[in-house]
Amino acid sequence: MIFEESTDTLLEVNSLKTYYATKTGYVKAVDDVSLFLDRSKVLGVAGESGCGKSTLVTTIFRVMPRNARVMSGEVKFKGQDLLKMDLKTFRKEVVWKDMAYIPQASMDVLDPVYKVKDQMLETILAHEDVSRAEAMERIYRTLESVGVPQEKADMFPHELSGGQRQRVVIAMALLLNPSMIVSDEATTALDVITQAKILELMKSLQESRKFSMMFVTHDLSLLANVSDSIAIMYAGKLVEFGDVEKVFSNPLHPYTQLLIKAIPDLRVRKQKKLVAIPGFPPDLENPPKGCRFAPRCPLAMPVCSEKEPEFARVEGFHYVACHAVNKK
Amino acid sequence: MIEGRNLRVYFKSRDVLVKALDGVNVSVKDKEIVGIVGESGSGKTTLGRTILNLQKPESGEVLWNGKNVFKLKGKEEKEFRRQNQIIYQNPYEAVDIRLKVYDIVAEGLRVHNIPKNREEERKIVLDTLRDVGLTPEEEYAKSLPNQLSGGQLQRVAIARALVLNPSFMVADEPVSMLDMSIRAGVLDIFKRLRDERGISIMMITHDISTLGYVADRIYVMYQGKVIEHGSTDSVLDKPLHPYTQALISAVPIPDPSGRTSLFSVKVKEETEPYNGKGCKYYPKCPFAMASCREKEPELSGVSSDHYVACFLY
Repeated sequence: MIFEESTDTLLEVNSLKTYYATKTGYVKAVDDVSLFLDRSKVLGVAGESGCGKSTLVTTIFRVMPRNARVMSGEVKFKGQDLLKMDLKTFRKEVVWKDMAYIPQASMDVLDPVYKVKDQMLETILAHEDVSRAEAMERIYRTLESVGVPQEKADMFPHELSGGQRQRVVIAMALLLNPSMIVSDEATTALDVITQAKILELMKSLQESRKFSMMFVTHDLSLLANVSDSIAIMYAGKLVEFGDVEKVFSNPLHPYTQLLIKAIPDLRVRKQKKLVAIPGFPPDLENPPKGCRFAPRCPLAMPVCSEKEPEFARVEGFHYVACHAVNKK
Repeated sequence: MIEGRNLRVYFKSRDVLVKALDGVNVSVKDKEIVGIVGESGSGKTTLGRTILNLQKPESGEVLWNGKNVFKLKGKEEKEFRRQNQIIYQNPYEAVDIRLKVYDIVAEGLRVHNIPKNREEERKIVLDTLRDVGLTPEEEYAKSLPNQLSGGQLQRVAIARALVLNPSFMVADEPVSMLDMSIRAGVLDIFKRLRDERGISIMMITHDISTLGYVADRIYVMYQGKVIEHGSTDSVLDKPLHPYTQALISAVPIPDPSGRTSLFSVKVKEETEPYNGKGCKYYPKCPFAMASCREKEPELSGVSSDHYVACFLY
């Protein structure tokens, strides 16, 4: 799929299909997803558990579980298909160096038996040919830029608070100055105040260092605050993709509309009633025929359970896959 | 209805004494949803456990219809256990995964010898499953926990508590594990229980925005203390304590047009450690004064339904 809105593409995912093999067939975790991310922009990917957003990330970084298979599609990063690259070169030259990953539960990704600085040193020395002193210098500078005092570099992860550990993990992602950082639910386990501070930090780093960021989360309201474009996934499909303002002010897919109504908003809590989407997401081994959201959709028409809706442009940078919208 | 008075719970970890609850007073009235909000480590879960006599306090008492629950024995204690139930955050850990949904829900009934015979038991269980929105109930009764989604299983956990016809429930982060799209449905169950059955609920959460939709009153906890409490409207519309203000402003607003005013959180980086005698929040408080370092503020009323522990007021 070609996106005309992409002016300075960094990452381009093209009709990607990642399935998990099971005893009885395939779980279609990511099914024909296409999206892009421009340089120094933030793309938010939102969806509920099991919608395929983490599978998308693990496919990009090629760290999928063993039973996962990329059935078709490509992941182009700076014009190069990452999935076709030699795995060794990919790990040495691209991962960390050019695209870094802040994982889910990143409080637990630090190795408890190494000091903070030693883990960071390892990251640098594995990828770059620099002297120890130079590397240490960079470690201290990076820690400072994320608001962690230098002396913490000599501490073990358990001596830091959750927020500080999170900052260290962000610093590690920044160490090699990548052009893209992918954050997968990076703030989910934190307290609200810490979360707000970390988000603020990530956003300001993104703006000053001008890297691209892919921000994956289940919390749509976070994305309203950090991203330039938003991709909404449901049951392995991309259902809506577009400019953040457009998606929030004029959500087109019924799923997006309901999802926005399900977010608590303290400013309007007396006027706005929280909405629950009836039913549950489908089984991805045998997804429903036609649109996967049709069984829960308030606007479902006969055609929805017959034919899969096409993912098409509505106007400007706003794409949606829905029969009810595309018909108009 | 149920009331905790001056509760103190201390945990000893090697040589460090952690004051999980440091003189907490809390009350839940009839037909009321009370929200307890605070960050991790604020003591909110310990409070819920202590209220239900699952944790013995160092000092203080919990009064249940005028009786001290820590002194209940035999039949009275069993009756207390029946009438006061708890729902945990993670339903996957809370239910026995080897039991069918029917048996998970029926287990409590059997322990308390409530149904006279099998048919009655079956009727109560199925009615309860329908009550929490698990229909067709016959189908759900036969399934095993691993066949259900998180939202469905949380409903099972609620049914299990509900089947004993309790008058009070502690719900510890009941929706934090659930997806946004199904949270409202589970929250609605709690509201219905309050309105239709008159059940009182203590809802413990770290997410103050959820409470805005369900709670009648809110207690804000910080490091083992209640630092502000009052009606939901007064706490959310006019938060007084600087911590409550930060907590509310840290809730992300689902609207990209308001981005410039994003996160007006006023929190200082902790520059000095807590000195052991002042207000627990002063190292982070942007309004800290000299007196805040010297003495801990007491809760005092600014109006009949709004109390705050802060020297600013």
